[in-house]
Amino acid sequence: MRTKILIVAEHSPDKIMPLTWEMIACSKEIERQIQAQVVVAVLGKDILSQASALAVKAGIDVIAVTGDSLESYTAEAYISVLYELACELRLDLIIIPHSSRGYDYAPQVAVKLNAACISGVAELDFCDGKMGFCRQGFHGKMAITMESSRPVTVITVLPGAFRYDGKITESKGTVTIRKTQLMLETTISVATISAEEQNANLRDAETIIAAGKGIEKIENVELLNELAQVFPKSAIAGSRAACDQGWIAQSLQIGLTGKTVAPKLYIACGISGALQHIAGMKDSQTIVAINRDPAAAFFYYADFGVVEDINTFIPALIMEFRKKKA
Amino acid sequence: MKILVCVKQVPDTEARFSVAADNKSVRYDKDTAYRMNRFDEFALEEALRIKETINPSVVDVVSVGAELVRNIVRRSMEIGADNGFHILLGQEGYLSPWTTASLIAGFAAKNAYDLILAGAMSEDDMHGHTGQMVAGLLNIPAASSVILEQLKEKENTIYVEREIDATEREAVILNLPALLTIQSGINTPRYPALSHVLRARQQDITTIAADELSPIYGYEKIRNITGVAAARKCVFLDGSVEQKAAKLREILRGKSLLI
Repeated sequence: MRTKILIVAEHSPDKIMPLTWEMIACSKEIERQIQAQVVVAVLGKDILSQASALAVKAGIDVIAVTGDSLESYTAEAYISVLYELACELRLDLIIIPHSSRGYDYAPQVAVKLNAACISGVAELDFCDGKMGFCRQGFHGKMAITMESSRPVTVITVLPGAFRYDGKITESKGTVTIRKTQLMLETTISVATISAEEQNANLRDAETIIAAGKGIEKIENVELLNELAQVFPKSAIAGSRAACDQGWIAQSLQIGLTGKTVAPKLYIACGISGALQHIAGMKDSQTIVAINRDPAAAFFYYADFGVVEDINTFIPALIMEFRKKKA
Repeated sequence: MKILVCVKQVPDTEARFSVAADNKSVRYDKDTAYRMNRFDEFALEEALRIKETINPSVVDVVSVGAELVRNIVRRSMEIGADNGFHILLGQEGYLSPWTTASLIAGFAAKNAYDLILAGAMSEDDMHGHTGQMVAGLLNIPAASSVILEQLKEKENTIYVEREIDATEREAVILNLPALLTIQSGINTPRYPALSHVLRARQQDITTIAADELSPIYGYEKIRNITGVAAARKCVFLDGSVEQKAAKLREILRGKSLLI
């Protein structure tokens, strides 16, 4: 029996987002292991051209669901449309991005379908033909492989976890158009609010010194600023926790809810290493992690590790640079 | 306005633990320090701010877990919550969002809340699912990663802005009752006032046995827990603090990364 899989596309008003291709890569990995039938759902008001382009490029069948209630994203519309699709197509697995939209509706789709729900999937692991979904837990320190015990499973896939090989297939997929008459009952979509892109210097920086919760106090930001002086084209940034504390400006936040950077050198000071942060900097050329916790998850992603307290190590490092300069 | 805040107790980021022999669970060391999930602190603060502007309001707080969890229910009351509820589970260890959500929804269904707030995710498990599942089970609208909210009491709605990324937000209006998961940074959580601490010490926490709330177990199961495969081979610098600093300088100089 073929496993029926639905991928829910992530798209902006005018384009299919790269996350969609990552989910297609995830489904290809499943298809290499088990018999599967994969379709992609694109939900929106004017998404026909995007849906057709996707079917052609990915060689995958696409269902375009259109309707006035889908003009802009609402959890209410997505939940309702996906619930209907899942029942009608007798889906076994629904793949949703672990994005700010994806984790907004995925858990509620799972509730409606009485389905298993596994979030932040970073890897697949097959054991005797049974699908396992790997995610991180325990502050990012351990990898947990989960299995579903339900007929239907909903997963959210972590951005950057699966890579599409970029191949464009020869066989084209089909596009099926469905119209929904759905009327929203509990939600009104008001607007999408965009702020000006700030801090271009973060993008251009060759060295980024990033502060985490482990710097403990705002006074230590001064130390990091001083440290930054010894690196060419350097900038200061922060983890979500450091920005929430007000130590670092929110516009300088690195991670899933902030900026993605890839400088020549990334020095993480007192950052635990949760995947939310790692996703925003893992492609940096050289990564140095400083953390007093020897088990901090950040060391899994670093080239060089220093197990020390920020309060003692940063002053020592600054001294070292001063000494050699003199 | 009747508000419920869902809070979770998490082990400290640096807490040590060991994996059980069957690789299916972990056990935290006895000396582990537990605290309130950081995201939930923002949810509680937001609830207290609503209470200060809309009169009368009541803020209840609920947490699911073993005996130990009472500490953060008490802490929430010290910060300013009016009533504390503890859904007591006999077992310790991993709880799936389904289990936690089914218990909270079972509790909330009996209490007719206008607004339910939760943190956007927990620091240790990072699912970011429990709040939305509670909403799904109660069949009320929800918005996640909320970075701004404005209650429209007359219209019986709430305006919220959801954080999409550093530069984008989505604004929606939800009918009440509704559930919001609160993104960190929405406010600055307060410290407990002495008067609240003294009051909270005298108050009872209502304990509810999990079995009374028809929990859902086992929709997902753990196959195994293993170490994270390192993305890079990390070279740990050794020696004294000064020696480590000298080594790091040499490495960075060798890679021509210094001025």
